[in-house]
Amino acid sequence: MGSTVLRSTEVDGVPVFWAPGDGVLRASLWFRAGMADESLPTRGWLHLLEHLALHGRDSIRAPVNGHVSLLHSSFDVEGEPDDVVAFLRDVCRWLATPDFSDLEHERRVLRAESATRGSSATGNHLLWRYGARGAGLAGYDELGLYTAEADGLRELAGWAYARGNAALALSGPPPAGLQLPLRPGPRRLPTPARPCDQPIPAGFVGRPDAIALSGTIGRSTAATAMLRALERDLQRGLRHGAGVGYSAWSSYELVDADHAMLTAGMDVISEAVPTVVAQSTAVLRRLRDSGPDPAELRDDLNQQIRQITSRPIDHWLPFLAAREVLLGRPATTSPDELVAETEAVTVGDVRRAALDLWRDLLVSVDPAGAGDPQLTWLGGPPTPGSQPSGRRFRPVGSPVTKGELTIGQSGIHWQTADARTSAQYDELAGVIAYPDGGRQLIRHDGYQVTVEPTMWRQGQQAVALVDSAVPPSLRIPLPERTPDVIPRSSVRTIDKLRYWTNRPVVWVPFLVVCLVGVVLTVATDEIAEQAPKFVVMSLAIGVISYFRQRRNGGTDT
Amino acid sequence: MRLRRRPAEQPLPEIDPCMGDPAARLFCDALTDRDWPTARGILARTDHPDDRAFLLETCGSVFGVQNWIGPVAADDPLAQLVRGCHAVAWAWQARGGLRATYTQADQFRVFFERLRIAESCLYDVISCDPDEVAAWAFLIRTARGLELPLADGEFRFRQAIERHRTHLRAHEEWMQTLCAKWAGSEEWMHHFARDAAARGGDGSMLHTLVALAHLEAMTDRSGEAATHYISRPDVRQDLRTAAGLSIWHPAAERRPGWPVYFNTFALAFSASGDLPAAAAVFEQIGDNITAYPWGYLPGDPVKSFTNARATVLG
Repeated sequence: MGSTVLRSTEVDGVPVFWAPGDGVLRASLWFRAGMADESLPTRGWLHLLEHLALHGRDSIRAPVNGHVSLLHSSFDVEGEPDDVVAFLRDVCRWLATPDFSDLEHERRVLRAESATRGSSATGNHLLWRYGARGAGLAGYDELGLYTAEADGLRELAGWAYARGNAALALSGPPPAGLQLPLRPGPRRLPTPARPCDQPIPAGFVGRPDAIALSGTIGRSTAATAMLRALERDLQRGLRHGAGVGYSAWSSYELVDADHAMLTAGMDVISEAVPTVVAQSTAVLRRLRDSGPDPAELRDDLNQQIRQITSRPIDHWLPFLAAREVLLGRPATTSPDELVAETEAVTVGDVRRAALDLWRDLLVSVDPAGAGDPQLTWLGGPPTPGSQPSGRRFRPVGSPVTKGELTIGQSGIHWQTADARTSAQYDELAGVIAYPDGGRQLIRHDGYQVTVEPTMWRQGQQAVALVDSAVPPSLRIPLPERTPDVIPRSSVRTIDKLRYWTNRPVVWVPFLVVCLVGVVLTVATDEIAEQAPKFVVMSLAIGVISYFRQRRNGGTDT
Repeated sequence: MRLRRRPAEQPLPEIDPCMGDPAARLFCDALTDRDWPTARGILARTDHPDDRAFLLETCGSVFGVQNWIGPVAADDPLAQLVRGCHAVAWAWQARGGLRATYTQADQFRVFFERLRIAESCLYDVISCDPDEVAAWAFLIRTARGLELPLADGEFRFRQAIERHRTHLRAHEEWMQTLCAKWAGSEEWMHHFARDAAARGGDGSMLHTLVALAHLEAMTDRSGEAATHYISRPDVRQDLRTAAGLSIWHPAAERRPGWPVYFNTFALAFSASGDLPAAAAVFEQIGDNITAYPWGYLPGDPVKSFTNARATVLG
């Protein structure tokens, strides 16, 4: 080795990377547009465009595929050179002038696909770390499937699939007749990932019987070595050592050009949940404090080097180059560079990467495992400051249910007896709207304020106020909910009656007035003589009840 | 009726967190005045690892350091060191200075929150300069407070003594972790104290750990059992030997923070009923009373000190 093996050229203004290889030609047309570039109301639009672009193009001769990651979209094909040329030409034509006649069909397909997909640990960590924007959107459902319309999709395709935003990777020389007829447009480099403002290291409640640790750190060979070491150590400590875990896993997600979120996790047996945070963080602390075992690190790096040198380079080097160039980073031109980088990794480098991970640590765990004192446990949004002025609404269950909803000019404030949240309209990532009037105002940090018209007096007016205050572009209209998922007040009329009857201070004076009225209208003179005594006694009962109630703290039923 | 004047009461001595050390006083005053350049100068000039740790311990008594040091600490590892060490004391203030069983849930919440700040500051310091022994020593304490496994505390202790074999603060903190009330046991604590004392040469204050271990063992017992323990002839002999090798040894130096070691022996001798030894130590202490270890006794530490002194000196 030692020679430059990555070849590059340009076709129709698009950089093309390739390496000499045998066999079937594989091509990947990459674009610098991914989930992190979407917004909550348009989450899933790139996936929808990818499906529309590939609709009807798959064949046994030339199988096609598409992929949308946090920062990239790609359209892949493999087959004979002519098939590859035809696919790339046709898909580029579609991307330059998209046709949305299949929109409804693909929207349905993707909704069905979305319904079968559960939330992933990595998605949850991205959501808790970045909220409802940027990389955090990977943790959300594809809500954009409900907002997608032709003009918006066309506008997105206009910049996402522009010539300057594309790169092509090939597993062999560019075939004759290759053309990439994309629209002109600039490259869009990713903006630096912006985490939510929250105390770190922190923990949050995640999937049952599982733990995952994540941190966003600078991309490096040492970082990936550290992630493998962490996965191995979790496996050794929790599965082989304590015997409480299943298989450890890890993931590496690019969140911007220079950083990746590293996640490692494990499913654990229920009995181990209460101590799993302490055990897992101890594993990471060891890596942070002492680094990996030097011999084990050497074995790990050697195995990586074997993989780099044994895999045919045409299968991966051009693809890596396309991905990196679109991020504004230099392309790796030879496996030798990667081998040299891998060989140079030291125990100290891995230790420092583990320290970086620790400094940005988020841990998710089964609810029964939360509370370890090393971490700040994220439970809810930061307590809002002053309550905004605006129209106030009382709960349907008032006075039994305590609470208040204030809808003002600039924001909304919701509070119950033991919690409160607010959202400013200008910090909203999106508003989910149900036909029954239910609204979820989702903030950029992912926390939300919910307005359910069934829970507030004059609730539909509250909803109308919210709708008039929130920009229409943030609205995400979802389909009808089944009645059983629409929340309803559990307070019955009898509960309210009991509430008042338990407060004699309210009904005793009323009774007194009634009594006096009766006496004055129908009673004889003798009764009338006794009436003042009844009045005094009744008032005394009222006063005593009032003070007893105050002494008891005025507890609600 | 004749009016009689009450005999003038002698004013009670006061606890000086700086233990009469002029540099520590200037350091704390500078921190109080938010005069970081002066405080930094004093800290930077304090080379001896034990003196440096003492200085950083005293800064815990200054109110409000956390309100202003954050922005300074962003660019200055020494300020970050002060921020971390101060946060350790700040955390313990939240804990109310009581043993864990008496501490309320919300006190614990703030305690842990502050400890996390301390831990992250001190780790920043050692990632810039792993040879900052004081940071390792204070990290032993944060490990204890955050209930980390013993292996973590031990790692930090080893890091500290690899860099300064006889570091007093590191030994004291690690011995606290080994106490039965934290994560260890009485046997373990005594074993460590003897081991540490053997590491210290003649005149080293590491011998004080033997006395401290006996005081810990005493406070773990109550009433008669406590008195019986500390008065045992072997314990009294241990105390005399330890004092002879530390505070009474001709090679002993009175370095900043010396009163705490003398106070330790004063309490231990008083409690054990070794009045002549206690009297000798009280004479040497004068009014240099320290909060620790007198705070181990119920009630006001100053009153405990003056009562013990009155009993011993007559």
